[in-house]
Parts: sequence; structure tokens; C-alpha cells
Amino acid sequence: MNRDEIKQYLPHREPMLLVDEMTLDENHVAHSKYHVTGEEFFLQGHFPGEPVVPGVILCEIMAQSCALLMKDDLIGKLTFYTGIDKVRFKNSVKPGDTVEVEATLTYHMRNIYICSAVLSVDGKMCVKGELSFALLPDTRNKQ
Amino acid sequence: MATIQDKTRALISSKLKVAETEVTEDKNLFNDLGADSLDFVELSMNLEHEFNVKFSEEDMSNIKTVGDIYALIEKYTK
Repeated sequence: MNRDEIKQYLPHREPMLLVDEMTLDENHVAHSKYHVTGEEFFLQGHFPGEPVVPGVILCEIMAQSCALLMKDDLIGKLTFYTGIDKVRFKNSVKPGDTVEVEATLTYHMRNIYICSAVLSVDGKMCVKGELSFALLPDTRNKQ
Repeated sequence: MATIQDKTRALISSKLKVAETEVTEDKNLFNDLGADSLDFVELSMNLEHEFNVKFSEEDMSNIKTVGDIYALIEKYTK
């Protein structure tokens, strides 16, 4: 799934669409990538002379990858964080890095989805954590 | 040996950060013990893992009190 195809499922748009490509394997594990160009708004001032992708943005990259796990449930819905748990930051991510995320759906009940995700660069783990979401109706175009 | 009620009470106490003595059968999980929707789903997940059962959404939609949970688990583990 490329960026245009991803837009059919995720409501996120530039500059906050943070997944370039995604595949779902036979075990329903999502594998996604995002290339950090260095031009992103979140690198401005974080930090001057030493650009590092903020941890909250890395969590958002994982969240968008997790959301794609439930892509068939996303139509007409928006995903909202309900929690982030056991998040650990192991290594920083810098311009030029290609981030890879592996995301797994751990549990689903009602409109709540609990996922685990690992974010790596060149095979080296940078972040891991458990993220949970609620899918709520997308009312943006309804009056 | 811990009973179903003992194990369930301990799980609820741990998940909702309330004393085990507060977890009595008549207590409403949301109004009395402060659970939110994510707590409830995580509790469901923990209970399924602890008792090796799988609840349906209909099962969980009928849960309001601690006693409801005891009854549900007893139904599944008979």
C-alpha cells in the first residue's frame, strides 16, 4: 500500500501523514515505513544544529501504522488515542533515517483496539510500546 | 487455593488501582470503581488471559458490577 492508497484509509494528511508504505503479512502484522527527509516541521527547533525526531512523533508514526491494522474498520471513522503504555525510547531517529514499524493487534473489544508496536531504523530498535485507540464516527462532513 | 472471586478481585483491584476491600459484588465498575472504557476492555483482556476463556461483545455489554463479572466467569469455567 503506497501513500495514496494509505490516504483511502487514514484521515491524516500532510504534514501529519507519517506512513509512506505499508504491507500486511499473512499473520496480520503490519510492516510500515516512513523516510525522514529532514524537511519535516517537527525538526525545526528540535534541536538547532542537532535535529532529532521528537518522541511524540515517533509514537504518532507507530499509531498510524497500528491504525492501518484495522483499515477495514476505518471507513467513516476517526482513530483517537485512548492510551499509550510501556513505551520505551532506546535510540534516536535523525534526518535520512528510514523508520520501520512492526505493529500487531493484541486485543479488540467493542470500538477499542489495543496494539503493540516496535519502531526500528536499520534493524536497531528505537521505540516500543503498547498503544490503544477508540474508533469514533467521522462526522466532519455531516451537518 | 485462590477462588475465581479471589483472582477476579485481585485483577480488578490491580487494573483500577483500588483496594481489594473496595471490590465487592455490588460495586458498579464505572460509577463506583472509576473504570473508563479502556480500563474495561483491558480488564476483559486480563480476565480472558487469567481464566483462558473468550468473552463475546454481548457478554461484556451486560457487565455493570463486580458480581456480573463473577457470574460471567463462573458460567465460562463450569
